[in-house]
Amino acid sequence: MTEVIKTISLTKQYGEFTAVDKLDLSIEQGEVFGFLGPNGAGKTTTILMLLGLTSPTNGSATIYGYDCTRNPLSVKRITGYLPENVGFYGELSAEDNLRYTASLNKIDGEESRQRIKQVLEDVGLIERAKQPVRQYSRGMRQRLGIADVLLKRPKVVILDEPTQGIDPASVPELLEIIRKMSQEHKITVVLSSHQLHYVQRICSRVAIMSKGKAVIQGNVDELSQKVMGGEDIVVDLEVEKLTPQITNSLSALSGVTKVTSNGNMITVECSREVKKELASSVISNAGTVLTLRSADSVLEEIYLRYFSGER
Amino acid sequence: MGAVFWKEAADYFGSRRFIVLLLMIAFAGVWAAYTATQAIRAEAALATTEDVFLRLFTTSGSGSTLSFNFFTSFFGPLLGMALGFDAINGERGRGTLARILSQPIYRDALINGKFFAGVTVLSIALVSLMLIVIGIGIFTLGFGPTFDEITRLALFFVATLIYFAVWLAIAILFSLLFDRAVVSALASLGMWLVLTFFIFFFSTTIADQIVSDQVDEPEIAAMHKMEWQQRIQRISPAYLYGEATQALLNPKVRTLGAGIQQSTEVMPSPLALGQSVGLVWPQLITLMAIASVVFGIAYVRFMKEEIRF
Repeated sequence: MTEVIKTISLTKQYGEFTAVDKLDLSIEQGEVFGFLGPNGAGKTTTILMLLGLTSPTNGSATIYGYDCTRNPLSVKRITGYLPENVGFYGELSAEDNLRYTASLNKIDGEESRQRIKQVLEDVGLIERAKQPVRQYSRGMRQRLGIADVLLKRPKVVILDEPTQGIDPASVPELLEIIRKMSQEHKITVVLSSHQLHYVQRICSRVAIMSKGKAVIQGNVDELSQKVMGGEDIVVDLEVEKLTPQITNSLSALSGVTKVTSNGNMITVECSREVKKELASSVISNAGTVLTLRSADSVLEEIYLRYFSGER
Repeated sequence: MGAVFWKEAADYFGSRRFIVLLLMIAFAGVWAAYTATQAIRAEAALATTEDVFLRLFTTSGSGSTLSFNFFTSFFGPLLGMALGFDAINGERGRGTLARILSQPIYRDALINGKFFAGVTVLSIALVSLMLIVIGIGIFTLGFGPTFDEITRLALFFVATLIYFAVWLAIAILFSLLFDRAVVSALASLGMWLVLTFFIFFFSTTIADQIVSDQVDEPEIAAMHKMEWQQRIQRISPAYLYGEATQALLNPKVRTLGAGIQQSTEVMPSPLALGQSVGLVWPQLITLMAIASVVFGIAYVRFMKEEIRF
């Protein structure tokens, strides 16, 4: 795997206040990297430095080897950025908004027309391409933002709070677009968010930021090991009809430490993420799973534990 | 910069505020020019063909002061401000600034593109209006302007455009300094009021303070006061523009400022074009310098700004 984004002790100070503090990140090609942390943790500042819109006080950041501060144009040519609260020219149609972006990227004529058509298809807005953007809903605007980002055929995409302010029903659609974008076009995706269960669903790796530092980095399983330190995750499981075979097979799974049942509800404590195995184990014993959920998502648990421990 | 330029130019031309203001100016200017032709025809003293096309722009009908030149000096700043007051904070408010600046363009392409698109749009509007007025003149008088008149009108156009550009630059600067478009619009308007109207009263007061009345010869004291007043008023682009166009459109103006009163008493012989230009050269250069300095401040400020969204 090649390393695409690299920051070395990246630091940004606003006067006395240190927004980003000696941040070392390394993001590989094709990853979907989640950037988590409370407001003011330095996520957006880091993103702005990656795009060369803010210059670091110290340290360096590179994308595909281009220095983000000294060579921002090369970086911005291959990097798409969806800002938090992305906006468009309301009086112009979606198509015209994208045409402007295309021309800023020196894409003109037939090429521009084709690309606009394609990205609007990708995000499912082709039918409303001629409509002025001011009539768009928040969710549609966000999808148009993704189309705008894809227009330049980027190698890296940075999304700042892409799910913020969108109704929950449209979020899966948006996440699916992001997932497809990373898989089909082999684009490296960095996304920042507070909505941890969404992040967990699509991110291969995450970093949790606090007070300008990446306090923890890794994939979700690693993190759960690190932060939970072997403490158990609790999963609630409801089956149609509980049989002893099911209880026994669940207890036999590696990582499961305790199984208790109450009617058709089973509570499983386990030391690692075993939801998939729980489900298939129930099914292989001729049972039917009605509900299956952790008390909280693993990431949420990690996050809360980390920040409550800190306080 | 090209992409920004064309997009902004198209936006300006299509924007309602620009169209409304332009229609107002077009209506007022054409009306002024039309009444001027009537006045020129009616009054025996004005009924010479000498500089008649220049007088179209400076004369006003039936004793009012509302000439075409008056309307350019009055509405021109409003037009410039209408284009510029939300140039940057508008983009920020809409959430487009971050998106545009994350495209592979130099940061200054945005502010340069906006400024030069504004100047271009203003120049197209101004040229069209002036051609309409000249057209009315040819139609009602039956002959065309002389080469000398055309040159003077071209210079008037340049001076007016620079004057418009000053206000566009001021508006763009305020759109950077203030986060809300309403605030920057009001700030530009306030600046315009002060520099166009109140500066007269300020300059009088200040001149009274500087020049003591306790001198033997009151005429000399009055003269000094007037000089000081003029020095202070020349801070204002409106005053400089007024002086410049006065001399450019009226070959009989031989001096600017304190001497004007005397020059009207003797029967003046008109100045040649080159001499008129020489007379207003400092004003033109100063106007251009004000535009450049104001835009320069906006430029530097925009380049150094931390983009927080």
